Amino acid sequence: MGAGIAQWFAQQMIPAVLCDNNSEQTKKAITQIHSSWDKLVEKEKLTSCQVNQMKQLLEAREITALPKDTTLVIEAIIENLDIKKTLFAKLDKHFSIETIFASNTSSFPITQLASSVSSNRQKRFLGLHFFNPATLMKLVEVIKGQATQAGLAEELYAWFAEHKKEPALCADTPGFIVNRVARSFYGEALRIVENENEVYCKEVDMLMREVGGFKMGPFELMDLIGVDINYAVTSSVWEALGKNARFTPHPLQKKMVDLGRFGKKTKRGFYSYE
Amino acid sequence: MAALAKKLNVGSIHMNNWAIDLTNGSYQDKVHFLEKNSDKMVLMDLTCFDPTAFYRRFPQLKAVCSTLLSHNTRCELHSENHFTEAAQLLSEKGFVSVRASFLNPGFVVPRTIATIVNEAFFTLDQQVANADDIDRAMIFGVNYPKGPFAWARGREKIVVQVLDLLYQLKNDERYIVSSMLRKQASLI
Repeated sequence: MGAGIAQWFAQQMIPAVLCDNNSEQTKKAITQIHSSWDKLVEKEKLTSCQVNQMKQLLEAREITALPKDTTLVIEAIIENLDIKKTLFAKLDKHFSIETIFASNTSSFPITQLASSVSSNRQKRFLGLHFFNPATLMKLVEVIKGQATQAGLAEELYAWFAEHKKEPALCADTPGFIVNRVARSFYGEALRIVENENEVYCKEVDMLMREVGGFKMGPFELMDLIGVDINYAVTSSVWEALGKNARFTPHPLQKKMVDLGRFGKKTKRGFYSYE
Repeated sequence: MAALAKKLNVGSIHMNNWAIDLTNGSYQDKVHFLEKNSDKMVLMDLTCFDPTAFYRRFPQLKAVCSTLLSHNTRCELHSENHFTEAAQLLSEKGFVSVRASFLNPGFVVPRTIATIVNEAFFTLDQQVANADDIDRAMIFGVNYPKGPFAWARGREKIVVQVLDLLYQLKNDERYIVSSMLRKQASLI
């Protein structure tokens, strides 16, 4: 997701640098971004002059080659607490104390991640949770950690609002806003059908689209996101919120995961894609 | 919804051999309406009730629908043998019917929306974010057609009724209503 975030910044005409342990990965990401921009020129959505400028603003570098006075560093690596904390500790040593650190985590408390950096840096540490694809989805959840200095989250909130994003300020609680409130969208659908029944799933999806006005129904969306990913998020929010009944994973979700029916990516989820 | 109902001229009405009740009446109101119209075919909004139980008890009930939590003019409609007629009647009242083949207490959309709204109220009550930011997050983060607070505005009482129905039928704590939502509903 880091590539999408960097692309969005470059599209705002703000210099952005992509970093990855694997330099081949960043090169590949930049090639893909360039190609998507070129397509937008072909479609006359951007001018070649704009794209040339954006291409100059986006680059790939090793962390150690980054300017120490970088304004903002956004971590968007794998959702693994230890790996994230190790990276933040490394970043903390490299950047000036003024540099703002942000995590794009969807599942870990910001305060816990911030514990990996010095107490001064913790004041300049917060969550910036983007939604996929970052260039299209306008929401950014701006999350204050316990030690985040007063006004910093509000400053970033205002900045994103000025740059055509739709920010939402939220406290450092499990699932933040979206991953918490959206659990009911899936959880209730699973409780309506109760058992595996493709016809019933299809009807629920259709009613949520046709009557509810949602772009996708809950079952087709779970199949697209990955039933395994959805189950993991539900389980994580449920655990983190004291196993509250409102978030209890449904046995059907677990059954699908146990059967390896993760959705489109395995060609079988609530629907068949053979 | 009150404004929409007024605009669409919705209420208890009689057309040909049909009696139509699209109000948010109490259980007693619904029973009374059905008993009073035992010689007619009845189309009734049962958003806040278990339609299966009503079908079983009242043979004159020929079609059930859910209009009360619609955020547009679309509604779920179930009827074994009279779907087309019932859909026509609803269309004359300004609603576009979508066929529901399976019966659910609280239907599909109202039931799902009620639990989303409830969670939004818990989130607000626990000071995770303010209502505007919660609405904005759901619209711009996951493409909801409307934020949960905007969806429920003025209809919190219906949301509470749907959740209470589900709690009563399922005996599951997931349907316990947020105290903030219940308070808001009592103010209507």
